[in-house]
Amino acid sequence: MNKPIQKMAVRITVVAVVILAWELVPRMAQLSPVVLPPFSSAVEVLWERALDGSLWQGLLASLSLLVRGVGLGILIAIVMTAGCFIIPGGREVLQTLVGLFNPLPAIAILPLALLWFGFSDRSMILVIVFSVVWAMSLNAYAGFSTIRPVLVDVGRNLGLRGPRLIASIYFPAALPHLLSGLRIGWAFAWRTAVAAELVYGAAGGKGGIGWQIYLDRSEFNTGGVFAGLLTIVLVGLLVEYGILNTIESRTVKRWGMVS
Amino acid sequence: MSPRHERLLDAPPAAVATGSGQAALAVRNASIAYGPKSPVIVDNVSFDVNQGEAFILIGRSGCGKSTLLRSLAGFQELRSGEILLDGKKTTAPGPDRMMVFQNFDQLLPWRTALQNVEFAVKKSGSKGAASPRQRALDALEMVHLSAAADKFPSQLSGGMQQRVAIARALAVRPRIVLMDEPFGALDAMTRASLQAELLRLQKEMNMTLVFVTHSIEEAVYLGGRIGLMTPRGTFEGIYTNAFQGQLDSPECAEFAGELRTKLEMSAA
Amino acid sequence: MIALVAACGSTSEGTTGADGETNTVRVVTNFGTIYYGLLLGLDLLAEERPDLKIEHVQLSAGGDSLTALASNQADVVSVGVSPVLIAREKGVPVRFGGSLVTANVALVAMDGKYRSLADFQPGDQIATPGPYAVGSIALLGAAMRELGDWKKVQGMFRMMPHPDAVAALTQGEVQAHMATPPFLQQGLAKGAREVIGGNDLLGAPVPLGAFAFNESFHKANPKVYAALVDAIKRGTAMINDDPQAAAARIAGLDAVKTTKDKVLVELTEQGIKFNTEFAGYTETADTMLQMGLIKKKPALSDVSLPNVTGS
Repeated sequence: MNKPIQKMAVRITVVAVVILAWELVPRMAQLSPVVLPPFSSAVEVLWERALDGSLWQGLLASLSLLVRGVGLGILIAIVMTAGCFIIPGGREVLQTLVGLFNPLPAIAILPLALLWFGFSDRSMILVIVFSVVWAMSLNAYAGFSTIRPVLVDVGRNLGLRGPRLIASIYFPAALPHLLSGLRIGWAFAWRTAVAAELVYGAAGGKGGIGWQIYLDRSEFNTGGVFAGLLTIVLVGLLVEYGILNTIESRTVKRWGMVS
Repeated sequence: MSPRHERLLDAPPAAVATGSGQAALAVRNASIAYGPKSPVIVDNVSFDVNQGEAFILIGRSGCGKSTLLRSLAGFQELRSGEILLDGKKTTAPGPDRMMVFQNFDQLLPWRTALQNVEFAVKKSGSKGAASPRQRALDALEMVHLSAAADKFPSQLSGGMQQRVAIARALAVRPRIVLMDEPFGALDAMTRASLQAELLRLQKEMNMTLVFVTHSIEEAVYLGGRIGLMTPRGTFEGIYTNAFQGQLDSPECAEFAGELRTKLEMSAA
Repeated sequence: MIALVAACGSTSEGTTGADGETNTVRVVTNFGTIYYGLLLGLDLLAEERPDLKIEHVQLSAGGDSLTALASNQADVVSVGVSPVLIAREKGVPVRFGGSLVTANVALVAMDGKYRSLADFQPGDQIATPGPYAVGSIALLGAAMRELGDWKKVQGMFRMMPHPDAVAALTQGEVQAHMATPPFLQQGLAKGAREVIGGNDLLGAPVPLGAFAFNESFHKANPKVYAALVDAIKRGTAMINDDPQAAAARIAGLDAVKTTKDKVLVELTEQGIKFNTEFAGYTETADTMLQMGLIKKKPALSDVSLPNVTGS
């Protein structure tokens, strides 16, 4: 038996055991469905919502915020980090900023965002950007710092300087770090986007996954709460394995930059 | 010369461009130190490199030969003195002096062999009749790597990577090629074949080359003239080499022996 | 939720007294004037029955007290009528022990351009403590009647506790507040105007607060249950009969800690009617049925323990 198959088998077994326990424990212990509904009733709710469209509406609302926020966050992080590498003394500025803001949970600035932008998409996007930007900057900084000096020399040899050097040498050279930054950053952002709705309700009247969970909880529809949690997990797996791993295997892995 | 060499070298020959008697590269009283208060690494050296000449810088580790080469490339500032390229003072790096480094990892890992060369042609702004892609293909053919054009550096052996780096340097059509022990990390067989190829290209293209090495055999095989550096960052002497391209003749071995003795004496 | 976890940690399973009934009562309430009758009753009972240990936890958000009851972390909870009806349909074993207050509630806004529900546009925000809080139901019921679509108004909801809502309203962070006393009075004092309120909302006074028991607690501890209900009734009666004495006593409670004068104002001048008899139950249940929040409309007696009165 080779290693990847073994790993896969272990993973599938773990998932199966978790699902089985989730299905059987509430039934055998005769728990109220308000406390812990079995797996099948969560799936049932998920299925109903997939059919009546409400799942997709909520998902679309959450993901559209997420994509906009993460996109903007990546852009800001890269421009900021690159700028700090070009400007003398900029690295200290960047390190200080990251040191100050990285430990702050993004959700904690939501009250401020609400004060500035009201309960709108902009507030949510600000919070998502905040959750992405520091993890991304930290990794972009690591990527830019650990670049092989000879590659910079190659670029300078060709007469590249400043932004052109950053764009054609630093940026691709830092891609493995940028991707791991994206991995961390998007996960922060996804949790933040859901949590923001969970705590404060719907943004701008278009409720996402978090808002649906909030309503389900208020309605004592615990099956619905679990359906929401399942959705969050599934989106996480999809992005992690469907998108990020694909990008990685088509770029840095193919290039032999990471094994 | 074959047509493809003409394409690569369609810049006018230096003798025409600059007038006879002027060196392609002239180093005047150059001193180098890493900081204002640090000791000098290279101490007041002067030499010329002529058009079409292979000039070797040889010395022990730490003699400043690589530092001097980095200054020629514009990566390292001079403390004093100047470097003239066709009579014009140079300070910053530029594609008129293309460098080939010792590290295999000098290729951009995210580009194929062909893309690495093509990238250099494009970014250097070097103009020519052929497209950058065609010039890159030609350069790869010259180093016998056409078959590996679409491979990524991680899929290439060390020797192949160095060939791509040489192709990249040549494709840009620099005024001078600078090489910093490019074969130093290769196994003996590969090194020998690359040395032969480099010598062939240097002759065919009338390439002006400054080549840093610590191997006397390599210096004697490749060099037209050999600048022997002391551990104090000065020249022990600059010697004309009559045995370029020769292998193992007794006279050649004798010359190499003389150089070795001078190298050892200078270190004493 | 954090407060709830803390509550779980601090409460313990009841131990049994001499008569076979528990000698520990776990009470979970929220903050605010509407629970004063309950608090006062508990205080009276604690004095009369030193053998009875009353563990009281206060939570800031409305739905959480029922969650505590559903997970068997609480025996007696303060509730709103609407969450109980939703929870009961979902199988939570909760029944009313009595009402606490009825009051006039109102939707208030700072900007004079909001004169009716029709003036609200998508993007406007209405502060409320919960999507299915009693005031929210009253408002959504009115939206259903006036606009034909209550989901549009629910999409404008922003969840926050009432004290925060008053600040958010006056700072322009939200456009309106579904306010209950005393926060309604606070908002009005700061220049807010009533958009819709009183009988225009529900057609009756709103049953703003009630208390409820876990069914199994009632079954296992009929005497303690009766003592609790009796004490809460007496506490409520004391507020109505002798507000001075009630205020003095309430002001000294750990859960309140304020001055007698302030409590007196809250008890007498803010439109809150303290009464253990229900009012507005039927109208609330009707509205919820029409909105589709419950499938069947139970009679008050279906969702209450014996001897609960009102309509």
